[in-house]
Amino acid sequence: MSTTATLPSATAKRTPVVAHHFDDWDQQYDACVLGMWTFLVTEVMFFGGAIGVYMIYRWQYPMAFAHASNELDVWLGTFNTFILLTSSLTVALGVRYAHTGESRKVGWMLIGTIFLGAIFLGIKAYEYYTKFHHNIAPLLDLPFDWGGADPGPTKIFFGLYFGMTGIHALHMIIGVVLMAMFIPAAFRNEYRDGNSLGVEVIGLYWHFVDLVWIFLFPLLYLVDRAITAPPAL
Amino acid sequence: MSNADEHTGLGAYFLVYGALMVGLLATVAVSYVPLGSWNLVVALAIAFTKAILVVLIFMHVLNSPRLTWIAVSAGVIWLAIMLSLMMADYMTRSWLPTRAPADMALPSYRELVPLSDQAIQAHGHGAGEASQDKEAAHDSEE
Repeated sequence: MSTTATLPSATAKRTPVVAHHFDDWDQQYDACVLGMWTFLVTEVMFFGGAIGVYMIYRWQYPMAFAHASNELDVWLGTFNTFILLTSSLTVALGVRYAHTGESRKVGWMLIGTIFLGAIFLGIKAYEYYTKFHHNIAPLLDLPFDWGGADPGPTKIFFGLYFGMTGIHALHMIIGVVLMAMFIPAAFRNEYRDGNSLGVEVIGLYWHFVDLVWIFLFPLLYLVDRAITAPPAL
Repeated sequence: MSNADEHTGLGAYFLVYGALMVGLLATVAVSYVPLGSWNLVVALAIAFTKAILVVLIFMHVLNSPRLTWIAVSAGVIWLAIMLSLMMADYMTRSWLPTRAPADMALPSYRELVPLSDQAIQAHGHGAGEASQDKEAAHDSEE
């Protein structure tokens, strides 16, 4: 661990290099963060459209959604939420280390985040597998066997489940790839001057993915756990 | 260097993480308590609390310039406009006296996705309903 220690204070931080079209580091930093937030707002609207579809159909078919939601594995969902929230902490720590110029710690935090993201995606893949196994994946013209009441609205629920968690998982895969691209620079000690913008921006992206899941988890897994016994199959 | 120097303390990150864990356990636990429609309200209240913590602390919006606050608020406000106007449409459709209820209503699921032969054979029902739906649709057109 001694290799991850900070530089001696005598050689400590210089000001990060500022691109020529910015007056100073503050301006460059604020402009980058603002640009990323602008992108994230478009992402909010993108997921918002899916949540809008979800709202309409849940309002129309509350009982079917409750039964279908009870079919999802709440413990896997809870564990996955735990994993993703933890990965949000590790990436937040990584961004902080990038601020303070502890470059190698940034690398380790990114590796930890990627590891947790991979666990999340693995569990998600297992959940998908069980849905396909039980013929409740309304994809690719596969047979959809729902022995309980309201097979139609149930199919809509599972369509939304696959759609919303699917685009969420796609965002996670993109995030994992992007984070992996920052690791070599981190271990080359390139963030020693607090040149944190790249890490800052990928951190914002990962937190956004976490935010989406914070809403998807109760909306999909916890629709109405209290009212019903599991639907008779 | 003001941005880079205004570090949130390490303690704040772990505090927020602890709060997120409490929120996660609370939202799972509360979902098993029969509260009727309040279950959704509580779940969303917890989700928004968690989201606000993540945005303010993990995403540093708390220490960001006002321009970032405006961008974030714009996202929230436009999302609220989109969802609330959309639900205002669907929830109030039945309030209007309408001359053509069949046209105003959402199509039934059967009209969108007819039963497959397999499903009819497997469950032994549904074929009659589908044909009745078609007749009803024809009636309303005339």
